[in-house]
Amino acid sequence: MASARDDWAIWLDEHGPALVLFARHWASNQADAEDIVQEAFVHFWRSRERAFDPAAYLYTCVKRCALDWQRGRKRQLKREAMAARPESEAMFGGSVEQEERRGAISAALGTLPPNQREVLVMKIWGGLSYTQIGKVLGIPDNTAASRYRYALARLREQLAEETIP
Amino acid sequence: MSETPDPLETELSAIRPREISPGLRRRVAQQLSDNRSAQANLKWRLRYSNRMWWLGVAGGVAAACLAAIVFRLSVSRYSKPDLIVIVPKAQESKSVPQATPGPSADTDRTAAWWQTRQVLDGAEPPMFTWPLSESSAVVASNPIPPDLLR
Repeated sequence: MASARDDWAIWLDEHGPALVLFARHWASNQADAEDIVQEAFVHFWRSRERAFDPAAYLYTCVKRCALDWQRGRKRQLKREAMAARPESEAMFGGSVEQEERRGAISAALGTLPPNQREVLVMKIWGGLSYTQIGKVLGIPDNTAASRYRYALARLREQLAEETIP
Repeated sequence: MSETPDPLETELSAIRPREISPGLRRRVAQQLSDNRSAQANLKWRLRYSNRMWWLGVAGGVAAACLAAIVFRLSVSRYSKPDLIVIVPKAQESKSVPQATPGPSADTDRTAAWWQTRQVLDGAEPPMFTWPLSESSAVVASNPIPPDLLR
């Protein structure tokens, strides 16, 4: 059985990349997203025993921390300054051959409405169910499912436009 | 609901988000270890303060008991209970009538009263003397009308 110290590392390894991607919705760069995830993860780990669904609670913590982070005046200014620059950091990792495709997916993801994007990230990369997504966002399961479908459809359109020369 | 595999969904699932940086892992580890030590410190403080609280309560109770004992001892030393003589009714008629105890002669005032009473009990009533002379009374009053004298 893993010790208490290893437990958090397992959680961070399992959910960390998706959480950072989720936080990128509010933070314009990877470093800020990691700051948000750090704060949220520590908060989650301290209070995880109170959570009914730990995975959903982890994403809720990230969203709350991201919103708090966004409210900060200094960070807001920094975010605006960073937003002025083109997003150069890749959201996804992998082989060099698929870099172009990954770039296209990242760009298409950026065009999605926020409510659809967060559902897509939680579903695809977070592995959450519609029920869990509903808990995180405070919406019914069916609404989460429909947002997911809309997001996929929109992403498909965007990627189709990208592939057309 | 049937879950037909969507090609796009499959493609998206295949790509993985960027791994977290070692810096993030290090910072989380640091923050959690700080939190653990802070929690241990807090737990120790709580245990210590809890012990001190019970010690305080025990000390307070002991002090209260001691004060109660001291008070009780001091009260029993300086106060004597009043003597109550109960005489049964049946024996009251046969018993020799006891002289009613007079007021104690502790104070000068009571002694003077007692002495005066004894003198009055044994002495003859003093003769009353009219303080006014006869002539002055006659002179002072009007002559009685003859109708009334009849």
